[in-house]
Amino acid sequence: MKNTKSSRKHMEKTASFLIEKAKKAGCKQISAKISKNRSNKVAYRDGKWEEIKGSTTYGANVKLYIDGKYASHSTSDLKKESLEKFIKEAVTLTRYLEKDKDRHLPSPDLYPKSKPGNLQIFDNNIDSLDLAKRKKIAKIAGDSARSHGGKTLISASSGFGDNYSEYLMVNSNGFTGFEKRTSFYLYAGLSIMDPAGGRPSDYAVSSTRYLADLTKAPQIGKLAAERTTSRLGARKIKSGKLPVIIENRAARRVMAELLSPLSARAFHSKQSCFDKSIGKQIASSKLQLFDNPLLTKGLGTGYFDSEGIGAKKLSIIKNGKLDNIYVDTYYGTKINMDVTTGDRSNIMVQSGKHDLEALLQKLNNGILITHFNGGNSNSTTGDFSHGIKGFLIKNGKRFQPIKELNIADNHKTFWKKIQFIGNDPYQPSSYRIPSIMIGPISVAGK
Amino acid sequence: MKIPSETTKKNVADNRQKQINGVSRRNFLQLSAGATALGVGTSLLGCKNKQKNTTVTSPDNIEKNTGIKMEKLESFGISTAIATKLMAAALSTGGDYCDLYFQRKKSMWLSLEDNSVNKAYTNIDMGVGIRVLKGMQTGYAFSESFDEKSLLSAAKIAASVANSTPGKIPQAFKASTFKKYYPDYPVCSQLNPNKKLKIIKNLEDKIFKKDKRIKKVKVYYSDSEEEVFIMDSQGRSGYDYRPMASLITSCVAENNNRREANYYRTATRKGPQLFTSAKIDDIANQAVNRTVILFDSIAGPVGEMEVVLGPGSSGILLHEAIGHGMEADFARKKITIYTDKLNEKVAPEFVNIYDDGCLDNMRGSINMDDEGNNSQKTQLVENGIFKTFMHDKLSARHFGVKPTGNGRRQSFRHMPLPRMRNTYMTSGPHKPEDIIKSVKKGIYAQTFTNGQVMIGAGDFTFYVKTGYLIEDGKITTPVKDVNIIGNGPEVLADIKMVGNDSKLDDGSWTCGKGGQSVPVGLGIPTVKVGKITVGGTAQ
Repeated sequence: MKNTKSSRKHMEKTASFLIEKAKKAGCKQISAKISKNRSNKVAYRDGKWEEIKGSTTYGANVKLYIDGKYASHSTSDLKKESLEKFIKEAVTLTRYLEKDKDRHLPSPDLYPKSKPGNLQIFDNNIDSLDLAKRKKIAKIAGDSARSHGGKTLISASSGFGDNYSEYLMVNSNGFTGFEKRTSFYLYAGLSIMDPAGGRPSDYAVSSTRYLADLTKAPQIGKLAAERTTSRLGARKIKSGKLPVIIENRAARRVMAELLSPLSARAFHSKQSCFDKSIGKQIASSKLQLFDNPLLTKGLGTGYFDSEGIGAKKLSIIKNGKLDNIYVDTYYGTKINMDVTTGDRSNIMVQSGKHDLEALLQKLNNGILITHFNGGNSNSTTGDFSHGIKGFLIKNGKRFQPIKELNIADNHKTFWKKIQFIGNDPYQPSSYRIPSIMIGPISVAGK
Repeated sequence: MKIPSETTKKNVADNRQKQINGVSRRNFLQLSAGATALGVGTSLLGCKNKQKNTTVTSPDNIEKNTGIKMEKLESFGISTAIATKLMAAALSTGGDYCDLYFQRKKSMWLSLEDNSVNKAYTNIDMGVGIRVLKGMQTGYAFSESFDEKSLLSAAKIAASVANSTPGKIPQAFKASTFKKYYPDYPVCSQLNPNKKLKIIKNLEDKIFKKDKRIKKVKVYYSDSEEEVFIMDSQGRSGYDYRPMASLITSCVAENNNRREANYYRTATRKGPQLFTSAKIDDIANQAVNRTVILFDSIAGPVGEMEVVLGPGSSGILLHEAIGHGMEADFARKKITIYTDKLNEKVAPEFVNIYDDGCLDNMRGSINMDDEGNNSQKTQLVENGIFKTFMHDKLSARHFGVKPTGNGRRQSFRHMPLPRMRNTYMTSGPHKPEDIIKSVKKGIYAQTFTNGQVMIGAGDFTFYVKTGYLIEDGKITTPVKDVNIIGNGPEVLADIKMVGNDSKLDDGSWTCGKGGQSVPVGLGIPTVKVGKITVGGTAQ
């Protein structure tokens, strides 16, 4: 997709058409979004090609504000005659709703004044990829995984994928934003026979905005194999209260649950265990948590949010105190709070001094959590409970892989128990969370 | 799950009784409704013709012979001549099989918050997925544009999986016929939106009236109508019309500075007609009861103990503990813990488990699967013996068996995979009260939000939203949200008692696998498991 300019023009034309039709139908305010995505994927397993996939998708969405009423409508059918019918039906349905005085587009003051410098979320090199190159990268990762899989290997798989997207937003009260992004990913996974029972599996993945930044394919295969073979002989341990380290690649699950009650929407709905906690200590003073949509090369990076609000760094937890929450236009109006943003972008925790191995030394005896398995969190009460697997740590070393365990605590107390924060923020995710040592907490086993 | 008697037809109930061996007549009636309404009305496409049993259409004389089945294709703006050209392009590099999957789906959501139905969302989704198989390899592409250039470009991508001489194109497409398990007319879109608003407001009103401690109520109504037309290089074609309606409500209650929240979700292929005044009353009761009971809840226990699963939504145990492990793609790759267990005893002899796409109006029912095969009632475990995996075309080809009608996909953007439909256990020999009495110390799990499984290790979890302690044979104090973790084969083998009260759950369950979501159903009688790990905090 070398000619992105012409796509933008076409997208602008479609957005103008939608806005014009909606205005004619009586809409006071309109937000129109047009998106285009191209993606490719190859998957390889045990020396053979398993899957080759490619596609281009288009989509349009309009948010309509008419007669004090609001609704959002999407379609993937962008033919002109279809769009005309789409708007007509969208307006008709919106008029059936009840009035809502708090619904309106964001204040124009919040729109970005200009596009920031190069955020490096688009890589021209995507055009250099063809099927042969995609296959080559995936094959190297898969063959590497296989070669390191050991005698009990059952199956080794790998895959490479790339995405290109363009996104245009036009708000009728004075905002037009356009962004184009690329992303690339490479993974390898293995399944092995465990003489002690079961067929454990694990994986490694790299995901980046720039092709050249991907972890090299042989390393991905090797890491996946090391992780999987280290699972041999996993067992269940006795219940108890133990300190834990949540490895960086697993930390997203509990961090997302911490963020869930930290929004104006949750506050207004009475579904937040932190709705009276702004300015109060909700975590250890070691925790600095922020949302940074302007992170260079970030997987959650963009210069405007899904309402068109200009991106800026937002401090969520500062020295363990709740600093800010996610406030979108609607719920901000409802609970009379200044709008920040309703969207999570790159979730970042300020790193500590120690790498994972040093954290294991600090832990001495406890559990390293490498994966969560199911479970959930209650954002109203803060209670959470999750299945886990990982390693039993004795004297600072991985003593034994463990499985079929559960941890439980409450978010109101859990984060206050942070002991150390690692220096290894997880790169292949918009949640750039380092490993975190925390606890002791309740571990359920035998 | 309770459906008012006026919508329950005896003949449907009797059919159901035949369908679900061992499920009690009472629960059966609770499930059944409305099959007599099938075949009435007009299709979403405006086609009023009755479907013929069989239509044979040659690509050469398609213009002369526009059978109803091909009208379904043409409603997408595609002639059979174009479709055949597309298939030829897809098979041009030597693929040995190709299918074209046309899909159109119209969905709407309405939501109530702060006493007002003040937000709606609609979505129109349409496209075609092109799949080419070469042995066990898959080439896949899709297009949302139906112009010839875009379609042929997608076919070329799918074709890139193969690299030899062109495959054969069928000379005719024989339309398959399927039994119908849900309405085949626009049950959702024909209902005026005002009536949908009324359903929502009525539910909110009933919830607030039931308990003064309820402070916030949200209600989400959604419905969709989906059409699928599939044609393949074996000369088969098939069409399915799939409606779905769901109602979800969440409640927040406050009492003495304590706040609790819970919800109720229900879904059906019957459409919004299910949401009668009596049904709404039932939903309101359940939502309120589930919320206010939490005021009495204490922290859940920790460690291994006996667990009794209540009838209905505890079917999540089957879905997570064994269902996914019995999907044949995992067996083909040899990565499921059940890979070598076919025809082995995996549970006590009073355990019988089915995966069934043929239950009237159930969320997981399908008339045909997404590869054009008949839906089936498939017995996975018979008297404790593991009888079959669930297959799609690829796994059936690998194992040299017939597909079981489990090839499903989220949309035209995805290739089919073996997926569950409605997975349930039939009734066993024990009385539910005797099961409770037999437990000295354990928990009784009644409702659930979600579950997960690690296919290879077999470890599965499910999250209990409503549960109680069992002490000395009696259900006592409610416990807070708690996760349960076990090992699939071990738990299945450790089933001690199975109640005679099998019940299907009417929840809006959605199963995720390989990045694809599909609607499913589940059910189970009261079941006691010898020991599972309960992940509470009360140590």
